[in-house]
Amino acid sequence: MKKSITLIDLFWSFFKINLVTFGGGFVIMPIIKKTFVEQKQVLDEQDMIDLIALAQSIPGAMAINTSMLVGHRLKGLKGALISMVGAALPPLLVISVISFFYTAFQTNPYVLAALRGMRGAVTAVMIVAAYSMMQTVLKTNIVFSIIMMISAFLLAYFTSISVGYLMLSAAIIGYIYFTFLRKQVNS
Amino acid sequence: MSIILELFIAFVSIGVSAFGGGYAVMPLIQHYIVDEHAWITMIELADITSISQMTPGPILVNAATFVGIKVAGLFGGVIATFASVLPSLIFVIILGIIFERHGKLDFIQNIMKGLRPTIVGLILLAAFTLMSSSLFNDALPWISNQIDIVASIAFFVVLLLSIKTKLDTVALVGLGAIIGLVMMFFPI
Repeated sequence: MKKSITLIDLFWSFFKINLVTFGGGFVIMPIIKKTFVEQKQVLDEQDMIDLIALAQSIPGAMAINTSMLVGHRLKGLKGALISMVGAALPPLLVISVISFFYTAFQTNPYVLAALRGMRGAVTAVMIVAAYSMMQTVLKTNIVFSIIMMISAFLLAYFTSISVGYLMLSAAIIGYIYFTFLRKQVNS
Repeated sequence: MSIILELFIAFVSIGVSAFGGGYAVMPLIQHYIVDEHAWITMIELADITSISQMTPGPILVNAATFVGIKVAGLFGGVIATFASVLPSLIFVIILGIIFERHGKLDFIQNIMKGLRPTIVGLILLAAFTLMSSSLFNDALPWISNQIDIVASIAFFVVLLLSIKTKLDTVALVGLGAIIGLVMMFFPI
């Protein structure tokens, strides 16, 4: 059952998530999912995957886009704004501090050691969440979904086709397959 | 034109055209910030990129903060950061409203059925890439002989805790940092 969330809770959730996930992009998606689907239970996994797909189809930083879309879904315009501030504040604070002594930061052995461990930890969290998203997506239209999933993986890995084009193609294929081809099979 | 306004316009322009995220934004930053305004050098841009790998936040936001502070102090940093996410905010509101009102239409649902497995494929690839870079020093796992022991120990401990417990991500990543620091004193 879906629960509700307060604006303050929304802010802190995104603040914390964006404080510990570095590298940006897709790394943060499963972690947002873990927080809002499993811990807070305010979205289901399918909603979450839809919001990530939407985030990918608009310009800007994906992590921020997904944060704002989740905020908008849960709490409307106020939610979007609060999530934007929550998501942008940690990098703003960290870079503000680092910009004053960034060479020292980059070569500090303690910083580097902590980062090695953090990288391993983030990788683990991401793999667990990515696996559960795969299970969700493979629950329906299994053959179609497996083909699309593997194609996206291989095309993005082996070619330099931009993610934007991959998403556009997937949208067109999904529309044609489920609107025209699938209908004929059923009737 | 005031420098603050110039910063704002430059980062709104980048934010509006940054499709695809991640490194796709690099040539845009180079065009607007390095070539057009000469606010930072290419070497500084490379530094920002590597710092961005080690710090929270997307490259676009990190670059905005860094450039803004360098050009116009802390206030410049805040304005540039806000400018870099403003276009996304506008798109999010428009798209969020459309999706909420019409999301159940067959037309949109059929498109989503194509997008969902694609997104998961890309996330799995990101997980795989992250694993190669953090545990195997950028080599493919099955041909690598340079395993990062520290990152791998943190990986397995957190993997286990992540499956078995309901611990918060912040706690899990914090634990990773502690493992990294403790391992400094037990060189393998």
